[in-house]
Amino acid sequence: MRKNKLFFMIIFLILITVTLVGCGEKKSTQENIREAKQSKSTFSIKYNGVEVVPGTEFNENLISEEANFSEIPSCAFEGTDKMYTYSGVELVVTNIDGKDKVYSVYFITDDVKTAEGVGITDTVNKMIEVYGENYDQSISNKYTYTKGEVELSFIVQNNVITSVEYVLKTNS
Amino acid sequence: MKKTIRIIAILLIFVLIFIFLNRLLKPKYAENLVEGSMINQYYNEPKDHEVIFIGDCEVYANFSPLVMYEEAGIKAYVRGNSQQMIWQSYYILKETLKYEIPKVVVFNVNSMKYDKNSEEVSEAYNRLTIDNMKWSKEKIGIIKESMTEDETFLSYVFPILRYHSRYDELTEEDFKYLFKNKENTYNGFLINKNIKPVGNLPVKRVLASYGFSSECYEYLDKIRELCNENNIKLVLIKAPSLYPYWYDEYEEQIRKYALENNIDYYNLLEKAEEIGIDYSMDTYDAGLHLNITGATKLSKYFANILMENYNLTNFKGDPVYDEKLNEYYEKIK
Repeated sequence: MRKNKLFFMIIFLILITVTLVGCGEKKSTQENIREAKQSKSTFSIKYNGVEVVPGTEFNENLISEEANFSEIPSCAFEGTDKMYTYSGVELVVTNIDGKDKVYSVYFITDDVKTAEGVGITDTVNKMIEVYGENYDQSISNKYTYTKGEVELSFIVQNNVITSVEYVLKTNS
Repeated sequence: MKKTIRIIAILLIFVLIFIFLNRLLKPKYAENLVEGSMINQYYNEPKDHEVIFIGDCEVYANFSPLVMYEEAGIKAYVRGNSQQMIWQSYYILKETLKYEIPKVVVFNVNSMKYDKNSEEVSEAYNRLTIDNMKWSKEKIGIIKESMTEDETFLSYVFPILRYHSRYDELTEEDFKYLFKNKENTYNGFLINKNIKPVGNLPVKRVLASYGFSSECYEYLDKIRELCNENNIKLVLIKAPSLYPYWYDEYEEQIRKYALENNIDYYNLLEKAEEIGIDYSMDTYDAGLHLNITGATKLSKYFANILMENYNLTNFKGDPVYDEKLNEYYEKIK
């Protein structure tokens, strides 16, 4: 009887511990990614007539232009990223929940424009005209707009846009 | 009286079970994610190294101390971890100096480009570097400096707070290495025999800022001061990794710092051709890190620089190192 009491007390203490530590449960990157998946991305870009939306599945066959392809270890996720370098943009595609999804779109040339018509060599004034003033400016020459789970960033030098990139937010 | 003994017994059993669960649930980094096992392998080493390498993956993947021993009789150790940030390098150096005072500390400057807001700072990398570090003032310091917003200090003290959900992911590895570690490196060098040639490197991004942050300079100063206080020659290097890019603006800042502080700096990326690195066969991940053939070339090249310039002892013939070298060659066969 005493032994049973002792046994149940130990089990009770273990249960309390496990329950308490459960309160501190931290979201894993994968869980964050899953959440990202569920949110609708609202920024997108049309490249060669094909709509590319960060956070959605990527089908390279849809883009007629042939890309230079490489795989490099992922910075944001585990495993490797697939890099598709076209003449106008570079797409980073990463594996999220077993599917190849667009992680980022980086503009290489100034003839590529965002869906709203802004690209490299345009002015900050044009960017503000198009996207408004609701941007994040953690670095003085970098303007970041967020819609859904996608961030659209412009880097600016002397009032002229020098870099445009869409990135899927990961919260990791 | 009996009641008191019973309570003490229960508490003791509880503590023992708690300790056991902490050990069991913490990742072992023995056969998977072996990068997490590198930090603690140092503790079992004989502490007679004349050269200590400090830095990120660009040191543990690219510099083989046993090749340096074979080439020039140098006793070296690499204290590098995945994405080891400069503030972590400082504390790891500080910890190292409690065990031994080398003649030369070689610091790879790649991490100067990451500050605490960089997306490369993550809990996953923090854990690989810190989880298996021995408890000390330095470990407390490294945790405090490294924690991301979502992390807690207590979860480093009691890993069960972080890893309790691993109970359904436990594998044979977790039981096999419950009370022992697996030696995965050779003096801190992680062997990789795969070949993946450099192909299409990513486009060089325009950055918003190329300037190193003041906090990185602050830690570089601390590393320099720590070396000065202990009469150690600090040597800065940039390992020959092609990606992530080492921008000219970075190079300019490091050169300036080295010149102003009278520190030797070697950009080995610029010397890749002279070293004989062939990126079509000497890298295992398309230019980010060297494989065994690339690391061997680089280690021989740099061993000669160290030997010629820093008054090191030629330890050739040391029985412990000769045995290590034999094991190493068995492994890379």
